[in-house]
Amino acid sequence: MIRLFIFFALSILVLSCSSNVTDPTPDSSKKGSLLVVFENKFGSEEFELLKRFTLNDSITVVTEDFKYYVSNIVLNNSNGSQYVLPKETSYFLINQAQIITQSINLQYIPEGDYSSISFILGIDSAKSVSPVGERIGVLDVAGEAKSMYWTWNSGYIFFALEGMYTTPRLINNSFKYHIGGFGGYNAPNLNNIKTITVPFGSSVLKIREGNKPHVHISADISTLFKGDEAISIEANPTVMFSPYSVNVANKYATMFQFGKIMD
Amino acid sequence: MQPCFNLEKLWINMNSIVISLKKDIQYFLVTVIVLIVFTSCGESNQPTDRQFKGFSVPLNFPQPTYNFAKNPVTEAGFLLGKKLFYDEILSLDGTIACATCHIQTSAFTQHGHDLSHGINDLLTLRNTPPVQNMAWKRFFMLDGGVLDLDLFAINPITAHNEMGETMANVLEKLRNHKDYPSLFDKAFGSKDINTERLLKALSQFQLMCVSADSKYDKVKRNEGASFTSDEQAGYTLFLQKCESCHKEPLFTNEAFTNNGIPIVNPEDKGRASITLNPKDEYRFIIPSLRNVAETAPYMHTGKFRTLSDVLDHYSSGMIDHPTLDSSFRIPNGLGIPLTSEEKRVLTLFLHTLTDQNFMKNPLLAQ
Repeated sequence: MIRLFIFFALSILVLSCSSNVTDPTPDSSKKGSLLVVFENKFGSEEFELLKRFTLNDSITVVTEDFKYYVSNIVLNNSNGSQYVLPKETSYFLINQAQIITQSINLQYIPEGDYSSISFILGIDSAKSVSPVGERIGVLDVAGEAKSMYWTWNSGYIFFALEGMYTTPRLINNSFKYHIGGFGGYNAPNLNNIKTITVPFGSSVLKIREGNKPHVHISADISTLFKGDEAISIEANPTVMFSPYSVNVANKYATMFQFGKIMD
Repeated sequence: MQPCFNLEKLWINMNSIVISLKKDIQYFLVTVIVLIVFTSCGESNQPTDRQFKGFSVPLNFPQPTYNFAKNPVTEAGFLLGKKLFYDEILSLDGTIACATCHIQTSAFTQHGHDLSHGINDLLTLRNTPPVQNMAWKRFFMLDGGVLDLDLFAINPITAHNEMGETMANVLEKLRNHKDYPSLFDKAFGSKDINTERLLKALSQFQLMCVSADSKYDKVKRNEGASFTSDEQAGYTLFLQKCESCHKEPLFTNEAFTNNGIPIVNPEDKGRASITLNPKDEYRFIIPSLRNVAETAPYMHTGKFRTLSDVLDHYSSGMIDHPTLDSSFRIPNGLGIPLTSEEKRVLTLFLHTLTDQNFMKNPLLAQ
């Protein structure tokens, strides 16, 4: 009897404690953190470099390099407010070749229940024209940005996808998508900056002090080559700084989907 | 540089004096004092031409466009930039320095080369432009693809047909070099060598490449020089026929234009590769005419060997093209009508833009 009582008492204690820890009323003066995991995919398959994926009946692709910038992250609270991450800590380069870059660590986020995340796929125009001293970390042209920067036309490449494709007629033709364009310095120019919002559906991202939930976002590369306005890899295997790049950017803007939240 | 070098020499002298003559310590101290007094007098009374006086705006020039607040030019920064400018370490195989194609005695162009050679004898796309009056430029590269001097040098360093290096590798070589870490320390306060510091040091040297001491400048600033009557006639003609594009005192309005030269490389579409606007096809930036007599060959293609060829082109050699500048469309053809006498006096005026003090300035020399 006493054993049963202790069991009940402990159970109540544990339950009340756990509910207190995981779901108290958010206190925005307290800060929590978050891990955003970008899961690159090809259709329903997990994406890998140098692996052959089937695009449709007649075309297969092997990717050698896949990178994109994620910046200017905003968390949208279900109460309608927004939390904008400090700009200087809000630049990330997701590189398929380096798994560590695919999870991004966000800290000092006010407690709250968040319903979606927004970010720029690429680099905003202000940063694109910033002085060299402000181009550090993933924006350093001697470092991580070395293959993501057009020296001759000062600007970052937002999205890079390259490799080889094979059709019944052509074997291992190269394809290369280097997409950038921040709108021009002093005259309007190509603007492929895309702000992407990924809603969490019925899930709620609960940011609480001491907790670190994981938000999984999938990026399906095959989206570029499917559906309305699909990019034909045969007709346009190489797209860089050109008017056509707008079509690629319009497609990559749709490739991100909410996966899951792990508290 | 100079005083340090002297002191070092003197120190060695003093040591040898002490050792060889075995004089007592008092004699030694007296020698030191005498020598220090002697050297410091030498410094203050005889400033050398290589003395660094900082960046200043010539009286007849507008305010610069470069933001000096972000990169103040200091002697140590300038000297570091100069060493880098003349150092082949920036290239992949150690054969090409900035100064290989930008030669001071030709206003930092490569005299006689239509196109320059990079590593492995690879040809560049366009004629080498001068490095002069960089602090006033709004556009870099002949298509204006770069708008900040600090971001410019990445181009020649990484272009496969110029220096062919990676920025990361250049930084690594500099970090492992016996001299550079301490030079970066002097210039920027620590031995850290990074992208920003490398580019800012190179900018500091380029910013000091100011050409504002030609005969034209001395006339304009009333420094005792005056045009000959032919030069004056050339100047008057220049103001009528050329100055709208080659605007004083920098002798460019930095617009992009198609001046009807033969298209050598149809793939090089100039400004249109940056703006993606078909109206900008085959338009290139209007260059400054300062030191023009010393910077042959001419145009971005480098196909005109002499000033006479250039003036003949403007008067009677233009080739029509949809993007040809409309100001060249005249009632009976294309171009700027010029008689041979007008060409003669124009050429004489253009020679007044030659600035030997700039091209021979020991401060800018290796």
